[in-house]
Amino acid sequence: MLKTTLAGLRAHTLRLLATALAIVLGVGFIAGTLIFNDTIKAAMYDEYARTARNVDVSITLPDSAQARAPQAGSPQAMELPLSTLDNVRRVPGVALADGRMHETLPLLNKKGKLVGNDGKPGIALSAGTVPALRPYDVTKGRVPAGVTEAALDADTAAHTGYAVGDTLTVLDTKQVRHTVTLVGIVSFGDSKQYAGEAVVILTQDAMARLAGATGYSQVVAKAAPGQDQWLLTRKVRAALPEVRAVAGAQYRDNLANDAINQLSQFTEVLLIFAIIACVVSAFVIYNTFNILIVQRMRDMALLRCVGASRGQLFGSVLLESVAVGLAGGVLGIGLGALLGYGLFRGLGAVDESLPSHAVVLTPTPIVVALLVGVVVTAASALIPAVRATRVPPLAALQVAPLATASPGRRRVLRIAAAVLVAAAGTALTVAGSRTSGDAQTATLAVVAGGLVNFLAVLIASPLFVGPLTAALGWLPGRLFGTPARLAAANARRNPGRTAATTAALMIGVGLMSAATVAITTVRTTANDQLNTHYPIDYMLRSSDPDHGSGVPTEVARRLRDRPELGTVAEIRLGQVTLDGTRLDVGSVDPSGQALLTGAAMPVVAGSTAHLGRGSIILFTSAPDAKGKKVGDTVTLSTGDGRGGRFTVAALVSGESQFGVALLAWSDFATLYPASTDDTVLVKAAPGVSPASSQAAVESVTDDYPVISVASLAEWRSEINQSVDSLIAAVAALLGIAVVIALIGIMNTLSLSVFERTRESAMIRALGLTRGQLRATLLIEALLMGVVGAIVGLSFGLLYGWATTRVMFTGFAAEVTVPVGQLLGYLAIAAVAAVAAAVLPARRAARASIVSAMAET
Amino acid sequence: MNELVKVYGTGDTAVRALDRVSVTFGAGEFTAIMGPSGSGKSTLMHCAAGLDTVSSGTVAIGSTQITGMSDKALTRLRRERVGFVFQSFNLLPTLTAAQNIRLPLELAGRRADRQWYDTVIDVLGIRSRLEHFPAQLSGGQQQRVACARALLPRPDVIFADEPTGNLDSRSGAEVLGFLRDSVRELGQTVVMVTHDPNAASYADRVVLLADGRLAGDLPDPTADGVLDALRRLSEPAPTRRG
Repeated sequence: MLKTTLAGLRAHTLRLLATALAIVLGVGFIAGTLIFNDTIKAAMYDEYARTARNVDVSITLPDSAQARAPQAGSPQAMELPLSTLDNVRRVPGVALADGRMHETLPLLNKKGKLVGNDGKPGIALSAGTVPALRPYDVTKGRVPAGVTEAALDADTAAHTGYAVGDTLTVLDTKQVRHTVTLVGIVSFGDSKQYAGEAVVILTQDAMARLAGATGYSQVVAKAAPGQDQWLLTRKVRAALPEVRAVAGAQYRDNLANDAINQLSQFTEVLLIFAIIACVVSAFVIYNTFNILIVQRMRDMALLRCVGASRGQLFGSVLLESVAVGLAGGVLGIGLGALLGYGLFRGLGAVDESLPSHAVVLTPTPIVVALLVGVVVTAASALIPAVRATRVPPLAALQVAPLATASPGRRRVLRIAAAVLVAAAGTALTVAGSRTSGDAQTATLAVVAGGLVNFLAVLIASPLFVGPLTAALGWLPGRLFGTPARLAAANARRNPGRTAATTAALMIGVGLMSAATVAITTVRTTANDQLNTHYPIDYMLRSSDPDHGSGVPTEVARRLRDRPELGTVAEIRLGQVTLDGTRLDVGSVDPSGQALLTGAAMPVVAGSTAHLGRGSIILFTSAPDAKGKKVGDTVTLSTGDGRGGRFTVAALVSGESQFGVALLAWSDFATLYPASTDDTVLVKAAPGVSPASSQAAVESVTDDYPVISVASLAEWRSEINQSVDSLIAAVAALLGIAVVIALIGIMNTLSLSVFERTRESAMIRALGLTRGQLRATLLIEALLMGVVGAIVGLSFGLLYGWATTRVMFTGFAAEVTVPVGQLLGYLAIAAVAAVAAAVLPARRAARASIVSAMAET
Repeated sequence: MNELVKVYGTGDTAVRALDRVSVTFGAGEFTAIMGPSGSGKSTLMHCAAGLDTVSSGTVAIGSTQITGMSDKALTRLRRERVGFVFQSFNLLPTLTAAQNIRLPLELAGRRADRQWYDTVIDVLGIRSRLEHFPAQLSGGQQQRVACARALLPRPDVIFADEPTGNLDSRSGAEVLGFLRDSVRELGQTVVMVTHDPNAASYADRVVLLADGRLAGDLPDPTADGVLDALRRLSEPAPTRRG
């Protein structure tokens, strides 16, 4: 039996390779994701080699201390006191130790504008006093020695044009300009830890004077010769219990892992799409094997006639599938390596901070790829293999292949199963949509309901694919005459086969359209929120919020002097403890209160119209708002001992950008006498053109390089842009699933062409031209593609709508249907399906009539 | 057809399936082509019907020479001027009997002559079966549908390839009787390939082939006469006295 199977494999190599193609793509996607992950990890480990160079012990503030520190106003609490360095040096076994300071420092270019990365200012690092423990190398000039000297990283020097000897302008924490002399250029080598950032190296004194450094972000130590770094770490821990000391090796690992964490989410998302691709491959393989079994019915029956047992036939089909899966797995690994490396390089091209590295191939992706390839293929071939065992030996003696009409009992069973599954799915969906609980659970319920209902659609699809094809075939039948009518009849001939073929496409297109509806709705919602929450034209913020400097108060004053600008609202933020819970509290000056309250805040109880002294507006999203009523009193205290009791004036729903509680302006001023503005909102005066209002705003902000001006129009276009790229990314990822589905259409059609050789020859003899025969197949593919796409689209539309509706409860989200885009998907599916049929159609048309008729 | 030669393969492996065969099938005549297996009778029919190309020689239907025609022209010719009846019926399983019958006309973009359609349907006795799919019909019924399909466009000639090969003797006799009637009463031209002397006896004329050459021509054949002729063919070269 094994010999027969192997002979069969040899004889059908080409056809089985076509089957394997589907699994190659699925497996390749998974392997590629894993290889990408491994490569990026290896690259990250290498990258941090320099930062951790010579470091045997790294001392930082423990995470708990950082969490306890207030967010704004007192950054010094997040740093190690200067005394730490001396304490570390005193630990026996420490040969060298140095403190590293790390602060943000706005640097201006030669035109007086901020040198930044996405509007964020650059950073300043302390030069270090121990050369061996410096994280950089000096490539030109020297290390700064006095408070008026600085060094600059090579990349920034190159693109700003600064050279050794030039004068640099930097802003201190009060945004006062200072000049320093550039004395050196430094390089961080292969490490891209600071890539894209402007890095200024200053002496420790200059760090304190210019960047406001009051402590170290890190203290590093080198062990004395012969001293084990793990042992030394324990000694440091014992000597300095209040800090967090980690061994150098561990430090390097931690740095790399932190960087990878973010990327892990990316690979997780990729894996989800890879699994979808594999599910689609499973459909394609199931279908291909099913067709192969039907076509080889006579061979199978003959084997049964000469004494093969059912078990042997089953084993033979399964063995064949394992071979296909193995081949798919091996080819998939190759594709995966290419894909993984391509992804890595592609991401590196977009994100400069990604280091370069050779592709890393660990055993894990190889084992996973082979396993997935074999398991998915064999599992998909299970049902066809069982079907093979049901072939009666007598079938070998019959001339015509057995009719494949499904008996009535099966039909009833199918309907019953579909109805049951659909009932469960619908119940889940309805429960999810009606639930008043949190949006996440509701969304999960709706998505789960959607998946179950999709299963119902798949079960039922053999029942409705036929009529749907007939209905869709009507128009081409009118337009293209007989070939189109023949195509529609062919597509209907085997509903199970057509259903399985289109199912793969349904999954891809369904997910794609659901994602598109959801993402487009997010965009509309975001735009709506922008319009209602910010009925403004410009928003001014500090691009260096870490220093707590905010927007200097004179900015608002100067803006108010400009006649082009109507309302200028100052918003301030602070952190308070309210009845024992820490939260952000905001306040807006009286002139701008109408901008913030009013239509933008859906009032749950009370009134926001008058926020007087001693009253507070609470957002329902505040951790403390549960159980509070209008008229209740809450106790509020700041970090430095100020506080008071406030009466709840109103409860409002929705999200807030400016804290979850609002105080009156005068109360806020009492609590935070030294506070500066966090945000300044500007609305142009009526009748002023956007150009002149922008010029008015910029005439003020030009004197404050650190302040970033967001114009709402720009913001909106930014949101739209990121939404568009998100849709593009999702479409590209699901595109692989669609490509696999198209391979399925190609497989089904080539097998059908093979099956209908005689029939095609006969109609050719009756007067169908080659072109018409080709058209018949192309139209059949078109119908399959359009049926799959339409079912997928309808389903995606329904669940995209249902999901986003519950996802944004309380946001009054307007579900948006991007009709043009969805029609685009339909058109792409149709065109691609026709493209998939080109090869089979050519083969069918090329066959000579006489030889085709002779084949049985 | 004139000096027809059909060679399969090249060089040493070349097989001369037809060797300078010249034969004319009369219009309004029922001709049977007979011969042992491998005599080239099917090849002759395929070439005559424009399904296969010839190596040399010419084929004409009426006054139209079809050798050298493009595939497109040949297709059009088959659509309009040639009808086929096959051994294994060859109906499209996806179409009903009526749709199968109308298929060639639809391909040609022509409408069926209502009266002629009714005549053909009634003569063949398949009116009650028109909405059935081929799988629901018996072999004899399927072959009668195939005959109707061949007749409906009123082709210049109908080629029948072993039309009774897959039928029981009673259904076979019905089909043969019908083919004969269509020639006698409707003036149709029919060329039939068969190896059954009984079937050949329905024809007006039998053309005998052996080893790719014309080997005999019997007008008004009977089953016994055909059998004799065939027997003579399979004997070693006949020695004639006199």
